[in-house]
Amino acid sequence: MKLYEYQGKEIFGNAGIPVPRGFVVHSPQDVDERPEESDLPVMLKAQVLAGKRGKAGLIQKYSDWTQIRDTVDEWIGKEFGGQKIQSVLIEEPLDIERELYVAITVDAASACPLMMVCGEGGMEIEELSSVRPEAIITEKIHVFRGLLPYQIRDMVQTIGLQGANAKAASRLFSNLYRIFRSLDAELVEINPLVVDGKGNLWAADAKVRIDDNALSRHKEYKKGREQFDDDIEYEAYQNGLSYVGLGGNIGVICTGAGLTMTTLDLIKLNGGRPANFLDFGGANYKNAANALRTALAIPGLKVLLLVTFGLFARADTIAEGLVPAIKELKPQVPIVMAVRGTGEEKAREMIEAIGIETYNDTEGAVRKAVELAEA
Amino acid sequence: MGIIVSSETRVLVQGITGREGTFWTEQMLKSGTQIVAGVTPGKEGESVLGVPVYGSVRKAVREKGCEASVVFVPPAFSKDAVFEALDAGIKTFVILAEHVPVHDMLEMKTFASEKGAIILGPNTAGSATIGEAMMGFVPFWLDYVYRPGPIGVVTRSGSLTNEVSSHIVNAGLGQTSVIGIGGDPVPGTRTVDVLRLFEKDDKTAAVVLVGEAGGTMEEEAAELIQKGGFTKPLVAFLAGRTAPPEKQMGHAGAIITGGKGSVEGKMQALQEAGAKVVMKPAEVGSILEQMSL
Repeated sequence: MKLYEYQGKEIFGNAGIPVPRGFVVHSPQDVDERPEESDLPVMLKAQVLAGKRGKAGLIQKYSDWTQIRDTVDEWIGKEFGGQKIQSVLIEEPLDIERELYVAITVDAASACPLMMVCGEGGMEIEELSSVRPEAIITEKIHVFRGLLPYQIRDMVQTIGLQGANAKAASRLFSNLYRIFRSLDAELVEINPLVVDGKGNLWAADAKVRIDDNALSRHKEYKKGREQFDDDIEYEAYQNGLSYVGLGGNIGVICTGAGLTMTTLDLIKLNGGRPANFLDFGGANYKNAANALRTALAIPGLKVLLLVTFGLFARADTIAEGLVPAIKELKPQVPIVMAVRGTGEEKAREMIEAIGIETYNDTEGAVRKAVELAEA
Repeated sequence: MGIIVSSETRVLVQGITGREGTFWTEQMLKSGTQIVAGVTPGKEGESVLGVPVYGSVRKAVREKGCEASVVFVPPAFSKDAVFEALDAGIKTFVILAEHVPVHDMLEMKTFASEKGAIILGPNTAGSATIGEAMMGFVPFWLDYVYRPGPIGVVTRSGSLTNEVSSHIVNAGLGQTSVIGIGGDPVPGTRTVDVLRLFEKDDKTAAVVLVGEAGGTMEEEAAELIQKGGFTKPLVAFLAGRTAPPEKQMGHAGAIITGGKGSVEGKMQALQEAGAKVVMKPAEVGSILEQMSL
């Protein structure tokens, strides 16, 4: 789960990482009711989860409260990256002397936290890592020993910080690591980390991504609609289904992520256009009725293709969920199925009893679905 | 004999009294697995299908000499269960649960490697040595999918493994071991670790790799082949060729980020290393047939 910049900065501030003074507004009225000590000029930063908002003009500097009010009015409700902007962060501008980069993420190959620092900030790190990978210093952190003082010293020295700056950076790195671990983060990133004219360090931005699988122990965060690209995706998530919209006309329901991706690849290979990714495998295999409901809500559907090859997901249990749902929902599009795995004979019998043809092989079913969609 | 689990392995089931734990214990017993004990805290003295249940792993190991564990514990408690078993001396784990927090996995993998233990999973169907033993939920009884034979299978997914395996059997062949490493971004065991085990296994003549978009495990496999660490024929099928970037395709590990982890790049790396990369699951069968193994 991605957090908004203002949420990240709140976490940073509470952990002792310096952040610019500011406040969040959700409406132009909130601008009128601003804290008394608000000075001008200020930075206006639209709160969005997608990247590249600076290039879209959603970070601006203003010196006039009427203009600020108008801009907030214009931005709130505006679409950016599939989301409606809901809030704007207003904060004091920084006197930037130098920009740095720091982040902590999971190194999957080494199974440890990985700290990345760079003496030049501001740029997207993916860009920098492809243009000048040598500029990024990486440090693997032992998950039980934690981030050690010598590792911090090395990094601070390599990016060329000295004296009070070095001390401030050391404190900041160690606080950032504490946040990373205590919040079950997949990513904490400060880009840019600003050194101002007086030599103070500031987190000018805050990117925090929490592991979805750990949200049950961080109950203050809950995934809302803003975390998803569209309504169907959000609804599927609430039903424990994994859904991605793909824009085509063949609705796809499968068990297992690997088999689902394979089915999508085979549809494209056969000249068809998949409408979606929808996996109801694993522990959710009894969710067949919900999966069907989700897929049928996709606009412009020509055919529905259902492919299973269960291990954990028993074919007969899937059929038991699916057959009554088909009877109830009465889909207007043809359905093609390849249902295999434990209990497959019984499953086939149940499905064919309601007049749906079943296939033994995935490819055969895919070809039939493509043919029906293009007819 | 296969790799990771054999009919000799003394297996423990953690969480044996749960519904899924009991259902799959029955299947594992039918497959020939020696399940010598189960553990559910608070249920010591009970028995499941004739398997004695203990309240702690320590006691189960002391009385029954367990060496490997199938972990049927919910994701939030997997770490504690695995730590308990590592401390008790268990050396092989299959973690079946999906949604295990990634920080927990970092700790489990680090602790396991310090103890010289291996973990398969999380989010895996487990490991089976066909005709001998099974830890997890591999449906070995589907005889058009699994039969004893000379092919090793290493895979990141579940249902797709059945699909691909059915084409191995359709080609008149069968499997030595089927090893699921799971669909998570930080698996306990990586593809290359399994390839090294298959390399040493005399019964395995060739290996089928079932991979997918995201991560770097297929690229690492290609590198291992280039360096001469794996010399047997390798056939690879990778799912997610058409997966859009920055979108998680079900498995937490199946996401193409920052231009990395695309199937195209993986296919190219494997091809350059000399592996046979196929476009459809059915072609796994036809290409193995041509190899005259």
